[in-house]
Amino acid sequence: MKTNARAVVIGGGAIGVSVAYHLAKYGWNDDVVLLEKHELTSGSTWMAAGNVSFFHSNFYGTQVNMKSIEIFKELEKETGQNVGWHTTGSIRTADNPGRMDELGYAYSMNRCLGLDVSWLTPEEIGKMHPFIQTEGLLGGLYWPDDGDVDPNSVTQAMAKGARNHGVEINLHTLVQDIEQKENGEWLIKTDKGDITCEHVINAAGLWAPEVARMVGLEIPSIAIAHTHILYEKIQAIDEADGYLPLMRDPDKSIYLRQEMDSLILGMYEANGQQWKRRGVPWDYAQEEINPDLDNISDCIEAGMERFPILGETGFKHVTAGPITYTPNGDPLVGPAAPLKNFYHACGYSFGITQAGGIGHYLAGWIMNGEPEIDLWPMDSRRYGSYANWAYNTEKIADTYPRLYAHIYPNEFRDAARPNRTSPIYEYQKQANAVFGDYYGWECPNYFPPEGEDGYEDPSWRRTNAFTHVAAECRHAMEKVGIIDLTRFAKTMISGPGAKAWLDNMTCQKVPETDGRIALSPMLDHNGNFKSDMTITRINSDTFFCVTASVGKKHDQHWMLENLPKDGSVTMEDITYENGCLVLVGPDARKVLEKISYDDVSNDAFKFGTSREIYVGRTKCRVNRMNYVGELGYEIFHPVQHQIALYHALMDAGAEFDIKLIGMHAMDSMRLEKGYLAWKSEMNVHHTPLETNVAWTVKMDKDFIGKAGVEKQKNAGVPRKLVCMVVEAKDADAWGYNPIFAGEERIGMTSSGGYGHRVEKSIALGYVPPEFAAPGTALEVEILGRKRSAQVVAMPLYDPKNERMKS
Amino acid sequence: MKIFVCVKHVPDTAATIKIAGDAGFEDGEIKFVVNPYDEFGVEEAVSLVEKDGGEVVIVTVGKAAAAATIRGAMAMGAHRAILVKTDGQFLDSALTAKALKAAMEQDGLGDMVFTGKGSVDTESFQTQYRLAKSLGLPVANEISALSIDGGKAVAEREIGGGDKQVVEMGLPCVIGATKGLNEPRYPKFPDIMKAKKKEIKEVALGDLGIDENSGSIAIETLETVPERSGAKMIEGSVDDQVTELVRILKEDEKVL
Amino acid sequence: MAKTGILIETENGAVKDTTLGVMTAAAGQEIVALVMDANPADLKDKLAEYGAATIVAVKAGAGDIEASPDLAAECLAAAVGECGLTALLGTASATGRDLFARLAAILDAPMVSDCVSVDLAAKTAKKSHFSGKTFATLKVNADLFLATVRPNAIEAVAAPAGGEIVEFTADVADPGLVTVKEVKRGESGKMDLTEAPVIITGGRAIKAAENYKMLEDCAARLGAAVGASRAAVDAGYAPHSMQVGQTGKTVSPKLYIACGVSGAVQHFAGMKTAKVIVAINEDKDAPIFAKCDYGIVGDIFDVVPKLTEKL
Repeated sequence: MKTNARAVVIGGGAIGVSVAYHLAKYGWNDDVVLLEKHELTSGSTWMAAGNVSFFHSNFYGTQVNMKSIEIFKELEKETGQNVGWHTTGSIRTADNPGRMDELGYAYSMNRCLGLDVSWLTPEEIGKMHPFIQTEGLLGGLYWPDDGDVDPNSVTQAMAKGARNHGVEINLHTLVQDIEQKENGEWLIKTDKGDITCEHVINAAGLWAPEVARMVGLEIPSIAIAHTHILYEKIQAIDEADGYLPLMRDPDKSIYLRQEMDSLILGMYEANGQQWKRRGVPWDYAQEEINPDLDNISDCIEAGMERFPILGETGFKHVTAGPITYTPNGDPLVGPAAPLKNFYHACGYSFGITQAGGIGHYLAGWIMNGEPEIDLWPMDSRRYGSYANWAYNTEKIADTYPRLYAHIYPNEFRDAARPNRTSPIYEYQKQANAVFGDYYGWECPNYFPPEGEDGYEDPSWRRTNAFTHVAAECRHAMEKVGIIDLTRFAKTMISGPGAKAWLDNMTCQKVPETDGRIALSPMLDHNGNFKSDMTITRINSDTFFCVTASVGKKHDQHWMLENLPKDGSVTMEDITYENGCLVLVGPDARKVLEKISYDDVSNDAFKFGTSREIYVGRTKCRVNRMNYVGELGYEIFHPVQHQIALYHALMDAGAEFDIKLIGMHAMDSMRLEKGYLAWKSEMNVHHTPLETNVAWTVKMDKDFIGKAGVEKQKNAGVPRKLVCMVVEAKDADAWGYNPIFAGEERIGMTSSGGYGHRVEKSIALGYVPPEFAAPGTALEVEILGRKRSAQVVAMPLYDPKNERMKS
Repeated sequence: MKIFVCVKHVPDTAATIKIAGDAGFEDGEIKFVVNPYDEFGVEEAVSLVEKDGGEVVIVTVGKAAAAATIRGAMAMGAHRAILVKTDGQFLDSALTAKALKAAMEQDGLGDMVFTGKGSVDTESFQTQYRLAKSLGLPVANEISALSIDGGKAVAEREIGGGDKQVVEMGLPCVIGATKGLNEPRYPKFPDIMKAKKKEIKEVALGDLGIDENSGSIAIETLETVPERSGAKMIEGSVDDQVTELVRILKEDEKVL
Repeated sequence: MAKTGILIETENGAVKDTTLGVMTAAAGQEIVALVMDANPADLKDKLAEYGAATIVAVKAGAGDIEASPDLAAECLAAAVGECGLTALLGTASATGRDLFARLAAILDAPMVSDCVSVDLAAKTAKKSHFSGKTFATLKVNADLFLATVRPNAIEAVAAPAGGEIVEFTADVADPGLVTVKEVKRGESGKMDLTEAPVIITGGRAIKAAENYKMLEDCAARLGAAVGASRAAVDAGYAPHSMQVGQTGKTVSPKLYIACGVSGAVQHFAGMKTAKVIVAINEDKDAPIFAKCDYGIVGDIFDVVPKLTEKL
């Protein structure tokens, strides 16, 4: 075994082998080593059903699947090793309107990617699958290019390719410990000797949590016994030519595909059994688990209802084996915070489908420093420390049976909650809050009136929350309200090098005077959005930086990675010591004036500035800015004072009819203001030049990503962010809606919703510059239907920002 | 006809056997199945009863967990079952035969007894002989063809090299079934569900007057055979390679 | 010295080689060779060479031993008593397995089947449990030690002894429960995969259905059955009934020769309990080489015909 390598991949399943293969193929060649404690595929890959399809609930996940299919089809040519690919096509059915909406979302999102996908009627479905009973179906989607592979063959083919490109694959080599050396290199200790390397990729599948633990990390991945059933030979299949399409009936939580002369039925049962709660033993390898037929009988019966032949066909083999699951069913990929050059590629529940693609994308990410597509939905940093073992255990019990459940953009499940709460959580509850969870935080989405049901119907369409959200928006526009943003990520940057360092981290100029605030995008090496923060200068050496709560780990990891080693800059996470209540609305100042010991008049406390003042008895850092476009104040405060502060504000605000306002209203209002949202408008595919924050790019200084921005500037900005008003009646855009000019698909929405203050359905999206002029008539496809849309000047609401500055 | 089928609860042949203690194995989580040879017996018995009427009774000696395996046999069409419960993992053949006999006597003797030719766990290949002897019945093992006519059974016994010995017996008799006798059916889900409702009568070994610890064969140690860890590669020209391979297979491994 | 009996098996009037190994298992004991199916005089030299102090020709007083396996077992039981044996060993052949099981039932004595080694002094025997995945060492707590020994498990070593021939006619009644009517000679057709002692399997490298003929030729010489990997079945080169592996058949032959099989985990699930696994593959990195006993890197179209020729 080598003692030195550039990259070491831990784990020889489909994922690990793919990552090693791509790293080598793209140029690291024999500088890549793979360590596998048993044989290739012996963790979960061996029992995978091998379905490979384009469908993924997420836009970027779909692209990973697309890449996999492309790679799998090419592998045999490159390696000479067959992968057992069959193009079978696949059908996803719906038996209720909600599911039809979900298919509509998938249809529209897939069309953004140019995929071949089409609608089927129940009759058409019946013609394509001789064994299906179509009663009750409303329709389905058909992807003709889907298929299946032999999971083992595809892994072996990638292993062969990897070896051809120089990868050293060491089987029966158990990683026992991992240490980081002084110089940042990793020392991996195995039972066959030590190996030093620059990059480590944790693709250890079932054992990924153990490998993570070796470097001090806790990752939310557990094993669940997944079951599929191979039926005995079915004469009609044996005699037929061609392959039956893969069938997914998500309403029955089953899939069915042809295997040789018969069928395989797989399922996500209601009570998924967690396997080896406290960790999978190291010596486990390719062993079937005792199947629990009682536990899956509902799914089997559902399968028989949809495919009656299953009731007349014997079980040839029931295979149950462990597969990893994360709290939301999506994997854990990418840089592992807070480490440098340590990556995860684990937590896969649909690993075969994604193996090829993720190998390609992660290898590129590792080698180039930035991902080719935005992999945030699978980024391991989307989970904070709240996503510990116990959380995961409770959460996955809810997620597993719902892997085929409806995907709704507005659904927040009750499982494994609450985790993080603001001190005023109980008051929010008393105010009848309907909560969402964001990065583990309980945060009110909206406040229905007392006596109204505290539950938002999950839907792709406008919901029962609509009128209540409208009322909250009106309240912010006419009176005054409080938005709880305690969950904001807050980082204090200080030291003699702080300003210079921050200046390099953002394209914006770091404020030059104390108490100034600057909206400061951070860009990646290509000049695309990495993140976005507001920097408040406290003094010449101290800066208070606020970033999105969900991006906390991601953003702070980025800062940490770039932090100078000489100690000239200190980074302190003050998120959990500080709350934030945002006072918004035309009466906000009146409320503040009543209880502040300081002068908060417009002259004394201007828009875009920050002051340390007393609000009631609490000494607060107050930033006069907000995300909704009204007169407002972000009041940061020591979290232990929050209830006192809350009472002070509520008491003072009583005469102005002060009310709590939720996330839905905030999101509606930010759309009206054209404020960008992280990972919607601001992601790795766009530079600020394409957006309405192009003004934050200061080309007269150096910063990370400048070259990329410059390049785009010189080449011409290829697309622009526009705001569109959509002729939508009951369903608004959500993002990933294709935008059409006539028959031509010209772009995609980044987000959308209803603007209650302007009373219009709004979509933000990127289109080529020639379509960006206000007045341009376009169409936006929502849930599979095209709707007229018109480009309008941004922002729609209060274009001169008079209200904020009043 | 009333037919008994002796079914053993054994680890799946694909399961990894992990040793526990000196002479046991970890049986908590591995997959257990109906002893594959016993399936031929179940199939034969069920087919006979389907043709001529009667009932098929499964008799199993084993730990409580064997009930799940018995359900598998009943899903193939057996009507009910008797489980003689033991505490230990292994019971020697003589005691197993005693237990089977006692259970059958308690239930009322039948017209036929089927077993598999042997079990894939302890591979002792003798319980059916001991059972037959104690019941005073004829026994034939490794049976791959069977016909029953006029109170007689004519069976074909596999004696190696593709040769078959044809034997004749009176009824009742004990038949040790093997591959070729039939194609055991794969249970359909509705049959599996029906099997859940079928009766399993549980009897403790001690209640049949058998002392579990009175066996005359004891396992002193159980050890795993190490997994292969890489081939001995045979080098040289094709001629040299093949010559060496044939020598190894004949002289070293003695498999040719 | 304790007296150990050995049940002698013969073929065409000569001692079977496998029996000689069983005699060696009793080295150090006074060996009594029990002959039931041949003329002891014809066997004397060989049996004496391999340690038989006495050769006992066991006969039935009445009835046909050949036609009544229970009678044969009764005679053997009587001989055990007559000769004062403390142990009796046989071969775990089709005949030996049946006869010893009947004998053990008659004597109500413990018996260990298919041992790979025995220690007569300690009264222990080692044998396979769980399809070859484990070995169990069994202790027999009885005056008489009965066991059958796996053919070829113990190498025969010459140990000359007297080889005095005596006759014993057992005065036993034929239970008459089972009657052997005839022996059907096997057809030399294709052998069944699951029962085959030797299997030769073709993987995807076989490239075409007609190339299985090459494996069949080799199989005919080996007395083997022919199998296929999933990839070969999937490619349409072989029917599904030939597939070995997780979604095919599970086999446990004494010799498994994999030709152009990459060695999927699923394939191993179907054949890893084979006693000896040989792999022939062009790709030196093929995973199968990590998990088999002997490997040849080479083109199956060169190696297999050569193997057929040399067998």
